Amino acid sequence: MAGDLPQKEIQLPGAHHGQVFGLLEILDDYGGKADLARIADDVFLELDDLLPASETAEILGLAKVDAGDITLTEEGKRFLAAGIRRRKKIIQQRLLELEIFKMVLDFVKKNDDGDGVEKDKVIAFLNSIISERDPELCFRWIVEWARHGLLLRYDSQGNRVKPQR
Amino acid sequence: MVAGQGGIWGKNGPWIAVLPLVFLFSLIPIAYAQRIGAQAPELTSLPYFALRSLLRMFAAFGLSILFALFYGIPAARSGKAERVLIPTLDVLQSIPILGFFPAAIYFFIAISEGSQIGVEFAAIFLIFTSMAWNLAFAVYESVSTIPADLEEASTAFGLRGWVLFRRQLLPACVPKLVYNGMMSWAGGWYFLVAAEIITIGSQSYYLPGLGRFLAESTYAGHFANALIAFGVLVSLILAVDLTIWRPLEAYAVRFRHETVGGIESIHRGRSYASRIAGILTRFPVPGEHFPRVSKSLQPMVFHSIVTLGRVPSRLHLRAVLASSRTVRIAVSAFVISSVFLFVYILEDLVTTQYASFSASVHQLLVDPIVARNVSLIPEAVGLSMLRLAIAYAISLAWTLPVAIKMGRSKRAFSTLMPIFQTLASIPATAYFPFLVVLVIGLPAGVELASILLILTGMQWYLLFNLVAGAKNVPADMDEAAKAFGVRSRIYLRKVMFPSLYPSLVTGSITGWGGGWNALIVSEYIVFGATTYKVLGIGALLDVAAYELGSVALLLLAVVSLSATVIAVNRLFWRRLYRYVTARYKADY
Amino acid sequence: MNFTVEEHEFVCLVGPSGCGKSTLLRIIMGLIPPDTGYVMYRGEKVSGPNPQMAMVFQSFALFPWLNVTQNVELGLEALALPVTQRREKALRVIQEIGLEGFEEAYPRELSGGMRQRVGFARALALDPEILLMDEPFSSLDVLTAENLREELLKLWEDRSLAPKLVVMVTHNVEEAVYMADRVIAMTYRPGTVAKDMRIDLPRPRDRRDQALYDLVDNITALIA
Repeated sequence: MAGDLPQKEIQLPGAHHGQVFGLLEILDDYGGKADLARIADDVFLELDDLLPASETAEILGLAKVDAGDITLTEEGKRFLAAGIRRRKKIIQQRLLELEIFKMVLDFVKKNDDGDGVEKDKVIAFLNSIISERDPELCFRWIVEWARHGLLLRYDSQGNRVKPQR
Repeated sequence: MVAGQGGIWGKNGPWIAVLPLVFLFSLIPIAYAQRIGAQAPELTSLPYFALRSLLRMFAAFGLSILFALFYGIPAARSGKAERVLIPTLDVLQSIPILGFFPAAIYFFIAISEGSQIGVEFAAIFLIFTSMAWNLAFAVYESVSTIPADLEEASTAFGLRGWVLFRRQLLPACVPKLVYNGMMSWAGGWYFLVAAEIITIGSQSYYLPGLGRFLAESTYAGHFANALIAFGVLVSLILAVDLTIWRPLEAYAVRFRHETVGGIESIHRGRSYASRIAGILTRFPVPGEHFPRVSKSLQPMVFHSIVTLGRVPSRLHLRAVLASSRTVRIAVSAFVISSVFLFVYILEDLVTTQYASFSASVHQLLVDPIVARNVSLIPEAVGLSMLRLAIAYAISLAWTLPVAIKMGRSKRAFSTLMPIFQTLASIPATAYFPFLVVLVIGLPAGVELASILLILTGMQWYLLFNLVAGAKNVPADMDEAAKAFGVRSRIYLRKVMFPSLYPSLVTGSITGWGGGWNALIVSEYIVFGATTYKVLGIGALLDVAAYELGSVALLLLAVVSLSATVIAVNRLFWRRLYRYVTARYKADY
Repeated sequence: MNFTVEEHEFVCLVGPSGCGKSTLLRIIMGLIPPDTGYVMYRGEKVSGPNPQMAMVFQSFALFPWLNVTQNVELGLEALALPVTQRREKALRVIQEIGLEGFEEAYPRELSGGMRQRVGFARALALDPEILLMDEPFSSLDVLTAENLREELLKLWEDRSLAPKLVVMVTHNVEEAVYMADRVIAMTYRPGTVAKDMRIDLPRPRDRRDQALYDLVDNITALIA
């Protein structure tokens, strides 16, 4: 379908920010590099449970996963050293580098009728660019991270997505 | 249920709301232009009558809500209060509307010396009695089930007084108030006729209103008028439903205590506005699309449907069971004797103007007709129960297979549910005359009519509860059954029925509650110039009120009925309920 | 039981379930009256909740029908603070706790970690002298709990925001040793203290420090 992002290019967070940051903190305790399976063992989780967080960390450029090892990137180190405000700025920048966030943000800005865009329209838009995944679920993750990165606002009563002031 | 699509009015929102709103508001100028005295049931007075009825309903409802809050909140928060207030509510709930006639007359009408205002208040009071108890239970249950951690947080952060009420107590009550509010509202319409024509023997008080219009039209044989009035009633009900109840339902969703955490659960219900025009979503639909989500809806549905009828639900059951037996008996005795006492005291005040209570008691002993009626009470009660049992059997015979079908087939459900919901929201008392016409000519016509009418008060409770139960067959059991190719009959026995038992009992309890309610309008039917009656406790009540004007007989009949209802509930239904929920409890 | 706490202490009550630590916390808070004995706060007996003590709950205890801002300003509303003032304070705390962007969100839209942040914000909005926490991280997944612990410790060390005293109840000994200045270990017999000890490890602490492990083992043995 024209306009489709190929599946492997969809870079979408799949874990909550608390989980991602928590993983980074733990990684820091290991000196910045560790075997994922080892971390899983130490915190009494299955390796599969760690994957969403580690993948999201990678998508955001805060860590790198290579042959079962996870390493903090420079950006990741800077992130950990930063305070809450600075951390949000970093996340905001990283999100803006993701294709899907850019597209959604553009869409919202263009279709803003003064009171944001209706949720269903955004989901329909998502559906048109990532037909292989559940658009509603993608919407949830995008909204959560966009809110966190101060890129979007979401009014859940009126179901409207709005750009950040 | 569409919580969020397009905000509170639904997707096609404003347009759906406009039409009924126009209708509602046009009533006002038309009514004003045609203000008429309380006499002739002419078609031109219909708009005004409709408006008056509507206002009456709103007033009664508003008062009911206030009562519910002032009564239910203390009952839920104070153990001492609970032990007195809840059993009292129990008893009050079992008294049929006619039982409040004497109170209505003596308090409101006597004190205002028969003025229109007095009668109006009396009518509002009567409608109030068909709405308030249910709502009080709803408030009580809501406040009782506030999660412990929220209560702790309230105390910890110093919430009290108005802030506590506004931020904690009232929001907690909203879901149940809305659901039970809809039921109470429907209940109010059901008894509108009884409230707008208040009669004790020879004294009659009439009010301008839709119920009275309907009654008088049928009494006078003006069936065309009756039909039109019926149409107006239905439109009024639909209008209020669309403009008030549906938005309220959607609004109430946010007040639920969430059990689904994390990423917001996906609610993809189809907008009901897109269905056949005028179809209402009265009952929340559990399990239609997302069995997992519905798990948090289920307790809601369960409790709300259970509090529909005049039998209290599992929760307040515990409170009542907790109070000692002696307290309960004492409270019942107290309430009943205070009724007598009030009447007697008031009678002192109004001896000159109204039939005296002592005369009526004297009548009891002396007047052979009245005396005979008193002796008939036990037999009447028995026969009424028999009728109820037959109506129950008939209801079950059709609702059970239908519910199972609706539970198993999504198509059947989505086609039939709206139809049933619409039918259920129209008060049966409004189309009684038409039912009667059809049946009265047949052999044993009167008994048949009577049973049919009782049926209309019972079957919806049964049906909706059964549907809820059928839909809630645990998804994994269902899948397993399908995967193993379990054959229909075995499936029914091992999977469907156990899931249905609790709902069956709940539906039966509330169905019987509705049946008891219906007795007074089903066993005594005025049609044209004839009065059809059967021997039953409902008929006896009507006879006492409308024919003999004997307050004493009325009260005796009320006490007998209430006592029977309470006895059946306590000795039979509650035991059965406890047994069934213990054995077949689905883990909500 | 008998103990005194000073300013600028991070105290942990550890013990197995049933030892009464949560009850003790509520007694300190003034939610439950003690059977015997009393709690003194700044020279006066504690008889009920007061705004100088704020609590964070294990199950978050958020009001589902209020959004994040309204939940956070709840305590301030109870104190009858005018709207503008409490709104301003609430928004500030929300920023400091890292929830900026979610001001209009409702609890059902939030993950467990975010909900607990709201719980923290609500407590901290009162600028309480004492922060009481009842197993605040127990309902969170491992990673999120880790994240919140670190952020809480950061807030604690940055003294401009934090309360003067933190009392945390937990059954996780490692968590206690990692976070606290002082650990009061209770045994399975309700109301008995096994040990009241200072944790002198320098901050920021290393989870994998041998000294920490030793302390954890030490305490675990005591409360068993």
